[in-house]
Amino acid sequence: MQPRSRDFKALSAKSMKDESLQGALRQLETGFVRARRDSASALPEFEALRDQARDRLDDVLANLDIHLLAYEQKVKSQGGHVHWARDGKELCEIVSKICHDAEAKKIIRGKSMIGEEAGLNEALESDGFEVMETDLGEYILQLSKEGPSHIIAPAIHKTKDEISDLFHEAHKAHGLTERQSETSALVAEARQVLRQAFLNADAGITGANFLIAETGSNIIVTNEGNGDLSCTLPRVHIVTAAIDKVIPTLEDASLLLRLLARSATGQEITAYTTLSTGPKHPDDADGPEEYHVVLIDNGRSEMLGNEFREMLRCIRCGACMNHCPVYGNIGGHAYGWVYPGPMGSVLTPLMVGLDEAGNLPNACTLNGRCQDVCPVRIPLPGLLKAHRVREFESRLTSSLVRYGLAGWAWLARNPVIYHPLMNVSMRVMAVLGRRRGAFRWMPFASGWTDVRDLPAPQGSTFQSIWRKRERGDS
Amino acid sequence: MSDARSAILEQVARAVGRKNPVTQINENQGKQVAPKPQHIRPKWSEPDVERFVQKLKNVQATVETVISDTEIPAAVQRFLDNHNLPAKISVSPDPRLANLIWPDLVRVTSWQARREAVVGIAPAEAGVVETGSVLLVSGQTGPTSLNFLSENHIAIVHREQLVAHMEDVWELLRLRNEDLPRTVNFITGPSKTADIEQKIEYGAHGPKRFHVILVDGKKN
Ligand code: SF4
Repeated sequence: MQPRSRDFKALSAKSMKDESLQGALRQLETGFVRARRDSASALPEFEALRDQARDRLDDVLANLDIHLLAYEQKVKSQGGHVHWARDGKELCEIVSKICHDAEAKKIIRGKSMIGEEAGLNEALESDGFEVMETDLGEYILQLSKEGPSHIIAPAIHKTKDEISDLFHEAHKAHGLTERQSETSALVAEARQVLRQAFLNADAGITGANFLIAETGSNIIVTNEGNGDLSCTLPRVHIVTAAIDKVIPTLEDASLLLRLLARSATGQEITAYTTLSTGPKHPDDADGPEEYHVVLIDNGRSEMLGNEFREMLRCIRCGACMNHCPVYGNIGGHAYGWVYPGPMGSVLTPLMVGLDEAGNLPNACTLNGRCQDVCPVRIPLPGLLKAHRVREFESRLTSSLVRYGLAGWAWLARNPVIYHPLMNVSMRVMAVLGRRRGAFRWMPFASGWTDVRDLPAPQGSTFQSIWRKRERGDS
Repeated sequence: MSDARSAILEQVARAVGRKNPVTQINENQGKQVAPKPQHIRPKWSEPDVERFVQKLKNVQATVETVISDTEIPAAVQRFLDNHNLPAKISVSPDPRLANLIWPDLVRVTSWQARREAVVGIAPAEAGVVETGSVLLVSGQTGPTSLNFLSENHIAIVHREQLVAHMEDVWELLRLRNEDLPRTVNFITGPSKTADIEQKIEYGAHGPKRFHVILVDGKKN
């Protein structure tokens, strides 16, 4: 997918005026956010599991090469193939060659963020393969020719009405001419169309939530069962996964599985948790004849050696975006690439470049909700700050911002001037906004205040409140 | 693309602070890198059977408890009647189901790989009490496609097959002393999706219903 993160500000402004998107985003709070909270509080061990997962993944990352080699060895010893790709382009070439060599024409895809990262569908289609997404959300996006706007619920921005239109148009070719408007009927129709695709496919490509070195297995978790059909029915199963997905043992998988679904959707476990290991055994009743794993780096080995290593603990649960006030206002597409929200604001500049995506880290309000819910305790605000430091150092920041910041930094280091000045401006703002408790308009912030009210300051700065607290007269 | 392999491994080695990149390990090293960790396992106070059944019901699975194997066919018949399904079932070729005596009116066929069925029945390898998950594995008599291509999926679980945690399943699998089965499925409820306006619909791509017949082995 071609990054558009450069247009972040314009895309955000557009998203904030998009009524149906805003409706979908409001549901996040009652859906994912509440479900996560309920399931986390129902498990007394939840916080301890988070600590354990963080520590364990840090240990794993410290020996990542050894675990990758152990994993590779185990896959091969069971008749599977392991391929390595430095970037998305190499991954596409490898997958294309596997399909070509296996004379596979029809390809089905299970949901995979790596596929999105690499632009796999487009590449395979331009190589002449017939590719069909099978996760319902991804299928909808394939029809509407859009990228995902959420890593767990990729089509969250689409309304039922829009989906009705898309299906009505696309399913005519399958003899389904009536326009369906009920969710159940839409799901049934997609099931019918995709079932044929499952039964006819030559190759199935899935992602992996984890790769297990001990057994050479990949794990996928789904609710729909599409991933399972994709790795069971076709004669070739291809797994695309990043190098940071490898974990040493089955015990590590169960540790992380206890956190993954709870953090993502509030489920204790998804409907299907599936381990695939190598090709089918000689007398197995079914299963693929070929099993390939393509391991992609795409910047991760570099992150392993710099201040972004902790980001490699990410298990792609989506909790950080569900809880992010910025994501909650602008949705996923505004971020301009495949990973939105806090995790996307950390990853995108590392994967597509800070000059393309330098705006993303700046959108963060450093409120810290993402870090509070991240199951593997990634210090997301800290990593976003690290980007800002990098950006400042590489002098990409526009000179206005730079001088503005430099001026502020000078002021802030001179408390005698800073505090009175800030107190005055806070009081001015408080008076201006007092009538409604929020600003409807502010100079230079119209992208925000056009559609959102900015809360008015309470009439004092954090520092002066703090000083009062310290004195005990809050 | 061995080029990419060494480039990646070199960069990883540098990143983790190794002087020399490691590009090969022998089998023993591969096995030794990770002694089995003891991670936290959730605890609960309710009886195991009760919890297992409740967890399944929480995710819209249905459960019927019977005393012995001989009652399985009648339980299946009740499931068909309850949902107005045709008297046609597709049964996994597993020998554990071979001796069941089905009612005359039910047409029983052995599962054919990659064929669809209205009702598919398979014996489970274990039930996980923590989450209410049912374990099914592939093999000569274990077609994985049955678990996903059946519109209604019935799994038979015996009480003595219940284990507390997923970790106990890992131990069971290790006891087989061979490589893992090609496919290991933990199934917890019917197929579902919330991809249209965040509303849950059942029967996305897999079974619309997931029914567990729990053979308890004793009278209640
Ligand atoms: S950063 Fe944390 S919260 Fe966000 S997707 Fe990754 S694991 Fe989940």
